[in-house]
Amino acid sequence: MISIDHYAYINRLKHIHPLEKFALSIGTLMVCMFFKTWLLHFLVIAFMSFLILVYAGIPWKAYLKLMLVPFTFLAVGVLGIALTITNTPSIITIGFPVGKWMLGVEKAGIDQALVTFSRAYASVTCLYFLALTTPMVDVIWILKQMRIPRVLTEMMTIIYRFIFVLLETASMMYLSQECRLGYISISRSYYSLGQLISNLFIKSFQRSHELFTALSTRGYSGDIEVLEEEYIYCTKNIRWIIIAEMFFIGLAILL
Amino acid sequence: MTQYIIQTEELEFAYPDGTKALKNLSIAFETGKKIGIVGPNGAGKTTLFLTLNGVHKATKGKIYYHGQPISYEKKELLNLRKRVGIVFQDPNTQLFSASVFQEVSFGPINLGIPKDEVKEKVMTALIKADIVDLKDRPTHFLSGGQKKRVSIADILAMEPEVIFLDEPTAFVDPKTSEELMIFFDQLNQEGKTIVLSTHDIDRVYTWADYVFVMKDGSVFAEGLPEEIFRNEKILNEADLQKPWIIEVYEVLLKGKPHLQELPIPKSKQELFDLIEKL
Repeated sequence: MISIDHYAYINRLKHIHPLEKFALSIGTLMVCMFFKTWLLHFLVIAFMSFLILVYAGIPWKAYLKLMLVPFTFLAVGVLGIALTITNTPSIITIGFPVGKWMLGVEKAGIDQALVTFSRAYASVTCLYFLALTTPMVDVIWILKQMRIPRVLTEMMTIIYRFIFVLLETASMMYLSQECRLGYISISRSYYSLGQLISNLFIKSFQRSHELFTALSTRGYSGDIEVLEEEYIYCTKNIRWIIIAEMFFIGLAILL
Repeated sequence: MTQYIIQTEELEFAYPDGTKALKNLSIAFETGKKIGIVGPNGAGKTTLFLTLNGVHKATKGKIYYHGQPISYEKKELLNLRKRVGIVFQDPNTQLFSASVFQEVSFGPINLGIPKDEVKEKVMTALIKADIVDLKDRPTHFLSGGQKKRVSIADILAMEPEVIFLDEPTAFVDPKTSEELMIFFDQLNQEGKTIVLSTHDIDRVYTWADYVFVMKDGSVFAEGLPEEIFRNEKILNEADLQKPWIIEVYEVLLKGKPHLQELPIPKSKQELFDLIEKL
């Protein structure tokens, strides 16, 4: 998760207008959700991966690792869809008997599994494209433009910032416990972890108090308003995004 | 006549649980000076800053800003917060945004300044704090010293008349803290009153024009640094150490009592000059 955040700031597409990236990512995601053609899905995966690796310049090793994250999860899920247990052996294409029943795969199951798998993977790559090229601050900016209630975007701003403060605090606590052999045995580990979590909870409360005080000293009166970065639309990019979407939709209809 | 930017009269502040953090505290900060506040942990330095900025409401006593007593009316409070800036000890408590630019713009926007003017103020603050290159960097990638500078820029963007710095040299390396002290000097030359609390006796002795010693929620002693830090009684009772320059000076004095006629050295260089005169 931290590495995604890191790449969001250092990739080559960072300075592209966030709404353009958002439109491409979410637009393609919608197309994938709407059409059940696995060929389209694989094309989307290839297209997004190309953008991520070549245009954004994300190292392929890191990208591969990220792509493996949903793999096990998806594989297990898809297996459940593909496998069929039935007592009418005629519909099973390949399978073996388990007592009176047949365990195997049927044609419809395989198709279903393939579509689910490709669609899920295509959606993931679309979201990876957004996550890897757009810093959270810009994502929040998009949400603000979409008139998402202010209280949510303000909370996102603060939560995002304090995830890192919390992680830093937690890792410090962990290290200090480790230094005192807090994780020497399983029972001690459980105890230490419990202490760490409860302490972290109390610390967060303290932090929120301190933050409130600090914001108050700068004239906070209920609204967190900041100056937004100004982005410039690029008509060329917008044209390409429209072309890409049209192409995917056209292809899906033809297929 | 000396002008005081902030004065308090028998100020008292008690936390909701009843602990009195400030007791009968009368203090006066002279306009345009470099002021140091020293004293042990828990003496009430941070609480004092927060009370003077109106975040903590004094339970007793009065606060005067430019000789005018402050009320806690909303508009006036905002005005007070504009003119009295506080830089917190731990930048992590102060920085709320992941974007340095957004972070610094928060204060001026709260003051109701038009957006294009805010942008100008933010840029000026970033230039002054020497962090223009960090503008597009996320806050969580910054080092401790860089975060400190951002937290100072936060306050500078609001263009306060007086800046309270709560232990600004804690958590930063010697080189950065040296640079920060020079930076505070520059801010002071621009006419800002700088008040800093610190445990770094050696630095505050060289830097400050005037020193307050706080203990148990009130002002225990005040005076010129060369008076305060040579007063054994005060130093002992407030658990303070002597600056090394004074220590050396006093050793020199033992052998050569005639040195007393010369001014007390305030910096390393002045001490070396004195030694050369021996």
